[in-house]
Amino acid sequence: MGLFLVILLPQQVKADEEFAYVKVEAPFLDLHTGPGRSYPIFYIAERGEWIKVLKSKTTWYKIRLDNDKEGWVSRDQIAKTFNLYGKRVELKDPDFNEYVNRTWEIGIQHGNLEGASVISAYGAFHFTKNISSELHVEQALGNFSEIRMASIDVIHQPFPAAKPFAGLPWVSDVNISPFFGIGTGVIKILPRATLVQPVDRQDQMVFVTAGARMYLTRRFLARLEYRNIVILTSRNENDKVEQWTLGFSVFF
Amino acid sequence: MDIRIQRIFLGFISLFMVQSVFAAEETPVKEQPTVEEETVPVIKVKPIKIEDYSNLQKAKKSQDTELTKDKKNNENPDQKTKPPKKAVDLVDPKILRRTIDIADIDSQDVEIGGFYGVMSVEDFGVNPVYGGFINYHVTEDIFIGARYGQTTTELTSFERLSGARLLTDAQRDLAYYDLSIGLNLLPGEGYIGKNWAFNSNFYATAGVGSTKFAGDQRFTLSWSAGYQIVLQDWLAFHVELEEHMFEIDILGSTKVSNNVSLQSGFSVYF
Repeated sequence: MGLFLVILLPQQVKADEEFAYVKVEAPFLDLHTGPGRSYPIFYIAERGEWIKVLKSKTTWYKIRLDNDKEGWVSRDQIAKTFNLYGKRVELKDPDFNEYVNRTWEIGIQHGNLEGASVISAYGAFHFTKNISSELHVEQALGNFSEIRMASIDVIHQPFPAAKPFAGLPWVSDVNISPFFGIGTGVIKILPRATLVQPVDRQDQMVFVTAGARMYLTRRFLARLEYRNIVILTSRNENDKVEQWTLGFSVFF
Repeated sequence: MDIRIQRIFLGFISLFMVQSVFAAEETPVKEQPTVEEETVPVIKVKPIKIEDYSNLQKAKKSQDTELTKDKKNNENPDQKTKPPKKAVDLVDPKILRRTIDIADIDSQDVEIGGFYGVMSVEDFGVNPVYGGFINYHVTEDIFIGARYGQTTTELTSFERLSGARLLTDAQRDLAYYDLSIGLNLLPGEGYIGKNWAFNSNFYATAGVGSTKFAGDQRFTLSWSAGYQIVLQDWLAFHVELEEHMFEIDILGSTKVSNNVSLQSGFSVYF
């Protein structure tokens, strides 16, 4: 109970607290009770007032006024403040430009591998706007087996900032960028325990891949991928399988 | 006086005069006055009366004390971080040191938490479940997350009655993970008594994952709905109901197994 009370008590202001000073330049600044547009506005800071910016949560900034009132201000309104040097505050909000120039990308995908459900997680490193390398870890769960895959590939994205519907209403800003690549990896097939005489198999695989990315908002993008995989089995014939996945990713 | 001396004298004088006239024509009489010279303010010295003198001394004294005060203020380190009250104080360099750029402000978009509750596994009883999760909040509305949980299961009714055993002890443990996308809904404030107000919201998630149970990994669809109370900016409490759906084939035929867990826990924002 004591711990619970301590948790509920307002946090003491630390002496070594780090914050940024900005000056309100818009006619006023709305202070919300929480980091969201739906939380009520309970106070207003006026033009010329200096505010401390303490922290951020998604697109919201927690600020403190001189009279110790604390509240949450939207990114749009913080962008209308001036810093100590009298310059407009620059907010590096992840936007389309940052998306095109991203370095890291991680994502989760779900799809289908010859009838089995695939769950995939991946991380990508972008060497240039066009060329990237991805590391995938996948698990496919079918009626007869569980399949585990780990793979690495090289991806070429010829038109990273393509807006194919430019000029059309509604969808003119939609970015869909195709990509293709090649890769290799290992695949492990574990037959179901209920099957008779289950034998584990591990093989190497090579694949070609093609797909498209679509920028959604902030750090968010959607990704569709098709893979044509050749499993290099120890038998006389190689297996060919196809995999479709769709998922969401964030970039840094 | 000798006429020659007189002539020489006059000649000298005339020469001197001519020279002086030419010299006056060649060199300007006076340099063009510069603007500065023209705008030098005329200081009107106001005669100080004797009774004013003491006032002047006082004024000078108070000015001196103000100066020393300012000096003291500058020496006081606590005053360095005091915000400038007016825009004209903008250039005070001392307050720049402790502040940081707004881009470097601590962002709390990652949420890590744990939960504990009960999970009902179809045919295999209700047992405690516990686990952890990590969420990344992309916007105020959307988050993506990964979750892991585990529980144990009991004997089925069939096993109890017949004495047969369908699963080994190791196979009876259930563990699952899922990757999900979530939506924050109905944000609002909750109140405790008169003085406490906490931000709160409902949320819903949908995900895909895998459940390891009865010797196999089973593809699992999951969704959950919960209620979250934000106790501090960095700390939240939640109660949620989660559904896990997978196919199971150990009881004769393949069937969809619906498993519900009710759990609560705390999470911390980083």
